[in-house]
Amino acid sequence: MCELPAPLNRRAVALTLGSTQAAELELLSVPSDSTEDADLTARLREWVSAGNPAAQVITFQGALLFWGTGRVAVVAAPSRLPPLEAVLAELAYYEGELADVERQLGEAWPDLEADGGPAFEFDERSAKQRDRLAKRFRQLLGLRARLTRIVPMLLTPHVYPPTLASQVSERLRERSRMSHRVEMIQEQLEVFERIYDTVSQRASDYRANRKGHLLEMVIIVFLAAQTLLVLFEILTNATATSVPTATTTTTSP
Amino acid sequence: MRHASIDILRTAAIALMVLVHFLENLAGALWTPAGFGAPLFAFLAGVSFRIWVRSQEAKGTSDAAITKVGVRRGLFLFALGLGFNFFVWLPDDLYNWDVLTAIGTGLAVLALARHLPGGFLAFVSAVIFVIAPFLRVQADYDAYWLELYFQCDKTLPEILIGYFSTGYFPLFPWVLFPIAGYVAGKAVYPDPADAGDGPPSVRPLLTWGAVLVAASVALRVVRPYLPDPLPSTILKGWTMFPASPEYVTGVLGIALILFGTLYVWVDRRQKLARFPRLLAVTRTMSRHTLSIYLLHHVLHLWPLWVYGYFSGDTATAYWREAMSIEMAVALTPVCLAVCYLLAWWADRREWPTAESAMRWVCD
Amino acid sequence: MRAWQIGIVGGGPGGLMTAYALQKWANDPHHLTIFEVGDRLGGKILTPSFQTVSATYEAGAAEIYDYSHIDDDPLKELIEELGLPINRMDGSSAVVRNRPVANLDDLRDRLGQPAVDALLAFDRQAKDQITPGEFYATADEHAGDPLVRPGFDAVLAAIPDPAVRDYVARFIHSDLATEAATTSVAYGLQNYLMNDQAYMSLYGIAGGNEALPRELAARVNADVKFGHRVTTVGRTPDGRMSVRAVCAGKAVESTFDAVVMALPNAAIGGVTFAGERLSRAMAGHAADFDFPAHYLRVTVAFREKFWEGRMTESYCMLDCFGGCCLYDESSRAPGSDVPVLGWLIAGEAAEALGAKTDDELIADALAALPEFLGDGRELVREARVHRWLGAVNAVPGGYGGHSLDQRHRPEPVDHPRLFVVGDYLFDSTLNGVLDSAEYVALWLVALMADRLEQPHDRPAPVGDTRDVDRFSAPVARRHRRTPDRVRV
Repeated sequence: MCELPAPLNRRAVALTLGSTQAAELELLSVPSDSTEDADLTARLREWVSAGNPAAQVITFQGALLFWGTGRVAVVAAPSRLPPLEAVLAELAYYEGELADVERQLGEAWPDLEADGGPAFEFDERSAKQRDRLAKRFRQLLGLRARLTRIVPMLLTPHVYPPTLASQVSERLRERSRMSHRVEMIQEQLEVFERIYDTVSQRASDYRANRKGHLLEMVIIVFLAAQTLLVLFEILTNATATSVPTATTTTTSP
Repeated sequence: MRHASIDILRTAAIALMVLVHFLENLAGALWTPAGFGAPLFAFLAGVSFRIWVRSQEAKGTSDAAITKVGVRRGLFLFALGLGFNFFVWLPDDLYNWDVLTAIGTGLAVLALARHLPGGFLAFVSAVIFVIAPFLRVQADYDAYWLELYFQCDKTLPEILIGYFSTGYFPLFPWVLFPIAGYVAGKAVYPDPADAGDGPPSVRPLLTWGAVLVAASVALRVVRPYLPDPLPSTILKGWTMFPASPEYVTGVLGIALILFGTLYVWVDRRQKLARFPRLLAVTRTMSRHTLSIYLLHHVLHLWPLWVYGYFSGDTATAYWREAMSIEMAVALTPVCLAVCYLLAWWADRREWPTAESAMRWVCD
Repeated sequence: MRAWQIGIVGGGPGGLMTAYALQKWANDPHHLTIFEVGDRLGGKILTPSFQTVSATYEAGAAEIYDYSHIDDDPLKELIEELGLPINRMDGSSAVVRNRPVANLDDLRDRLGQPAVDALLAFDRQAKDQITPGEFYATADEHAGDPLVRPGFDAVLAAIPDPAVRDYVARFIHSDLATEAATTSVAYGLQNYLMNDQAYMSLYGIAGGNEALPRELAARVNADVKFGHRVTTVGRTPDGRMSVRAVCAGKAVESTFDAVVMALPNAAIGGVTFAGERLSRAMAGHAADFDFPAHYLRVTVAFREKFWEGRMTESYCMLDCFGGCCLYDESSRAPGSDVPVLGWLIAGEAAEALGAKTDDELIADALAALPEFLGDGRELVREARVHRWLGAVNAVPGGYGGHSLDQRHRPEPVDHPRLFVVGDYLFDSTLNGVLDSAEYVALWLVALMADRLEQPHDRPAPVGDTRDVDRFSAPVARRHRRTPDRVRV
C-alpha cells in the first residue's frame, strides 16, 4: 500500500481477506461522493467503535474519517481514496508505536519507583540488582530509539500547498495530540534516563569502591591471622613452664 | 516456614550424635562415620541462621534488631555450652569447649558479619581452615591430649588456647562450619532482591562439595608420601580430635552435597511428599535438636556418674566401660524414641524447651 | 530631576503599546499623557457585541500573526505576559466557482493538472525568493531589498494559467487589502507565503482581540484625555514640544519633553505641524507611506449554523469582491451558541462599496455566499457593518527605503523628540505596530537614561543631534527581538 519513510524501512501491505497473518490495522474504505449519509455514518461509527469505544469521527474537506485503535474507516470520492488509505496506514503505524511506547513507559513506573533507591544510595543489595538495572536501562534506550525514529514523521511541518492526504494527516496528528504526547513521553523518558543514568554511575562507583574495600578486608583478615599466630606464640610461651598433667576426672564428650 | 530437607538433616545429625556418644561414652568404641554428626550440626546451625535472618528481613525487622538478637542467641549458646560442660559433664570440665560454644561463637560472629559478601565469608573460612593446624602446632596440641581426652590447667592462657585451638571443639577450625553453612544457606535462600527468575542453582554447592571430598581423599592418599613434618603435624588422617584438614574438607564436602541434594529432592521436587509421617517425625526432632542434644547427654551420662559415684571409686569409673558395643547401639534408638516422645509432648503441652528458653531470653 | 513629560497622540494599539513599553522599561521618572479623539481606547482592535443576541465578533483586526516557531515573537510574548489565552486559527479553503477548493486534489478536480503544476511552480518561486527567516526579518529595514518594488501584478502575470493567476490573486486579496498592481512584490509574496505555516500561523485572543488594548490600558498609568482631537503639534521656544488639542470646542495646549504620534498615516494629514521644517517633514512622511488600503467588515449573526460540516475551518476565501475572507466568528468562541459569519471585504471592492448603505452591504455580502452555503440567507438574525477605509497600508514600510530611525523620527534636526509610531511603518499588522511602539519606547528610554539629557535643566540645543548618534544606532541594531538587552 505504501512505504514508510526512510529510517523505518517498513511497508504497509494489504492482506487478502481471510489471510492467516494477523493484521495490525483494519481499514475500511468506502468510495462515495457524499459524506452525509446518516445510515452509513452510523454503521461505520459502530464498526470502528467495536474495536475501541474512544473512536474519533472527523469530517474534513469532503472526506469522512473514523479513527480508532486498530480500526479505521474512510469515506471519500473514489479518486481520493488511495492516498488517504496510504496516509491512514502510515499514521496508524505511528499511533501504534506511540501507544506502545506509552504503554511500556506506563508499566515501567513501578519499577522506576523501586529503582529510585539505588539512585540515592547504592548498597550491597543494589549491587545484586545490577544486571536487572542494566536490563531496564537497555529497554529504556530501546524505547528512546523507537520514539526518536518516528518523531520526525510525527512532527513533520505543515505542507503547503496542501493535499487532502497532508491535511488529513495533520488533522489526525493534531486530534491524536501526537506532538503533545511526544513531548510528554520525552519528558518521562528524561526522568527515567536521569534515574538510570545516576544508578549506573552509582553502580560503577560502588563496584570500584567495593573492589578496594574487599582488598582492604582481605588484608585485614591476613593481619588478623598473623596477630592470632603472634598471640598464640605469646600464650604458649606463657604456658611453657606449666606442663599439663593428666587428671583423672576429665572425660570426653 | 519449615524446610523439610533441613529437618531431615538435623534429625540425621542428632541421631548420629546420640549414636556416637553412646558408643564412645558407654562402650568406649570409636566409629569414624559417626563423627559426622557434630560438623553437620554446626553446619546446619549456619544454614538455619541464614533462614532466620531472611525471615526476619522479610518481616521488616530492623537491621540492628536482627544483629542484636543474633549476637544474643550466639552468646546464649556459648553460655549454654559452658553450663552444659559444668552440669552434664563435671565441674572440672567447664573449659572443655563443647560444640555449642563453637556454634555460639560462630552465630555471634555471623550476626555481625552477615552483610559481608558470601565469597568473602568463604575466604575467611578458608583462612580459618589454613591457620587452624598451624595454631595446633604452635599450641602443641598433643600435649593437651594425653589419654585421648582433653585436659588443661585452669589458667587463662590454657583456657584461651583450649578455646581457640586445642579443646574438643576449638574455634579453629570448628567455627568455619556455621560460617560455611551460612554461605551455603545464602546461596540457596538468597535475599528476595538477589533472587533470579528461577529457583537458585545448587550446582555450585554440589561442585564445591565434590571438590572438598576429593581434596579430603587426595590429602588422605598423599599423606604418607609427604615429607616430614607435614604428615605428622599438619595432616593427621581422618581424625575428629584434632579436626584434621582431611576431616574438615571431607565432612564439609559431604554436608554441602547432602544439603544441596536434599534441597532439590525434598524441598523443590517434593520427593518425600508421599511420607508425611516421616516428615512429621523429622520436623518434631528438628524443632528440638538442641533440647535433644542436651537431653540425651543427661539421659546417658548422669546415670553413669551417679552409678559410678555410689558403686565405684569415682564418678567416671564406668565411663567408656559401662556396656558392650551391641548394647550401646541397641540403646541408641530407644533413647531417640524417648527423646522424640518427649519432644512431641513438649510441642503439645507447650513445655519449656532449650529452644523456647533461647527465644525467651534473646528475642 | 524632573519627570519626563511624554505626550502620546492616539489611543489605539500603537499609543497603548508605546505607553506600556515605556512604563515597563524606563528607569527614570516620567509622566504619560494619551490624547484620544474618541471615547474608547484600542483603535482598530474592536470586539463589539450584537444588539439582539449575546455574541461578540471581531470588527477590526481579525487575527494576530504567530512567528514564535521562527524566532522571538514580541506580540505573543506580550499577550502571554498579559495573561491572555489564545485560540489558533486555520483555514486553507477557497471557494472557486461556487465549490470549495481546500487542497491540491480539489484544485486538480476543478482546474486540472496544469493548474496544479502552475500553482506549485509559483509556490516554489515565491519560497525561493523569501525564506521563513527572511520573511521574519523583512518587516524590519528593507532598504535595498530588490523585492521592495512596485508591481506585484507583474509577478502574478507570470503565472501561465489564468485560472491559477486569478485563484492566487483572490486568495491573498483580503490580506493585501489592495490590488496586486498597487502593492510591492515583497508584500504580495509575503501575503501569499503567510498561508504556509512554515512562515507563520494565525491566532486570535480568546474572548476577543480587544482584550489586548483593554489589558494594556488597565496596566498603563497615563493621563488619558478622551475626546481630544489634536490639531497642532509644534516646538516651544525652549526646545520642548507643544500639543494643541480641541476638546468639546475648547482648545487645550500642553507641553511635553517628547511627543509620540501614534495615528494611522491617513490621520497625520489632519494634524497641523507648526514650523515649516516640521510641516514639510511630516508631509513628506505622510506621502512616503501614502498607500491607503481599505477594509469593510460585514458581520452577520444567524439563527442556525448552516455551514456545519461544510466549512470546518476558522475561515475560508470567497472568490467574490475580488477575493474576500469569510470568518466563522463562532469558531473563536467555542462555547457560544450564536452562529456568526464575518465577511472581510478588502481593497478596491471595499473602497467602491464604501459608499453603499449598511443594508445594501449586508445584502451584497449574503448574496456573495457560495451556493453550497446559500441556505443561510434566510437565517439572518442581526447584521453589523464596520468600515475601515484607508485604515491600513498597501505598501507598509513604503518604497522609500527609509531606515527605521528615519521612519520613526521624521524631523531629527529641530524636532528630535517628535516620534511616529504606526503599523504602516512595518507590515500593517498588530505585530508591526508593537515593533514600532517598542522601537520608539526604547529610543525614549535611552534618551531618558542619558544624564546629559535632563528634560528641563538642559534642553537639547537646536540642531544638536548628539543623542541621535549616541543612541539611535545601537537601538536600531538591537531592535525588535531583544529589547530588554538595550536597557541602559
